[in-house]
Amino acid sequence: MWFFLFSFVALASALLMIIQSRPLYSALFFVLTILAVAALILLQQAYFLAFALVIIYAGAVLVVYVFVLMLSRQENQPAYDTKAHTPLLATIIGLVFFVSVLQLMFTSSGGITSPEATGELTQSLTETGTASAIGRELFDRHVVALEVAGLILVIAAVGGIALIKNLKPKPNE
Amino acid sequence: MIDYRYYLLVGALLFTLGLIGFMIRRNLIVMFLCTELMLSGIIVNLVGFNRHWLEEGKTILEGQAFTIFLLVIAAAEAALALALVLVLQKRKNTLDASAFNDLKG
Repeated sequence: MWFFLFSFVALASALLMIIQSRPLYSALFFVLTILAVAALILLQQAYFLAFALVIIYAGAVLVVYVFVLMLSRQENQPAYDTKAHTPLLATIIGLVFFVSVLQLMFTSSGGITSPEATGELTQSLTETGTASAIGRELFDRHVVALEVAGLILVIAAVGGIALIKNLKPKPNE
Repeated sequence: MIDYRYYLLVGALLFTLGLIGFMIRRNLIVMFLCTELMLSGIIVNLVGFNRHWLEEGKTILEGQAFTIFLLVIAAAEAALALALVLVLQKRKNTLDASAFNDLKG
């Protein structure tokens, strides 16, 4: 029951996010989507992942989005915010994509069907969502990827500062 | 409990909504927000697969590890994308994605 509630909240707020005319409301609806996705992750007892998602995604990335929206204020309701850019074609392409993903999931050659193969929950989910479990998984089997992820964060920080550095207004000469 | 295929369905729906939103909107910041929505759909997908791999008897948590890396990628991409959007907005004083068509034939 909780799964259907949280998935409905996530999908409804995602739909409301893409049709908002004011970008700040889009950002706020996206925060609601991320909270619903975190609740869906909590249903799988992946506690650390849900908290990481809320803290990093909703707490840092979206706050940066709201700040940039504040810094780049336009006049109220410019034309590119109120009118959608080819909505019919976009919806058709999205439907084609979704139907192809569904077919990939539910045909016999996709490998995800055959309900007797999945069966009921045979493996209990205890102790699989704690920080120590994820830490052991990351450091036992994905050490190189972890170091590269740290390197990516450093590069992103340096790159962000390098991009903004010359954003001062030009002096009048 | 919930079968893992419902998670895949929700992930596919979120990704499709992000895709449609990316094609509909022309505001640069909202386009990047729809990119993040696509990434969050993939996160739901990976959590469903994490459940599936646990059910098969293997006690690996690869779905969650992959999600951690995806969070790192999303954060780095958001930082750089917003820096680029600010630079572009200073150049043309608009957030319209179709304002940069100087090379259009």
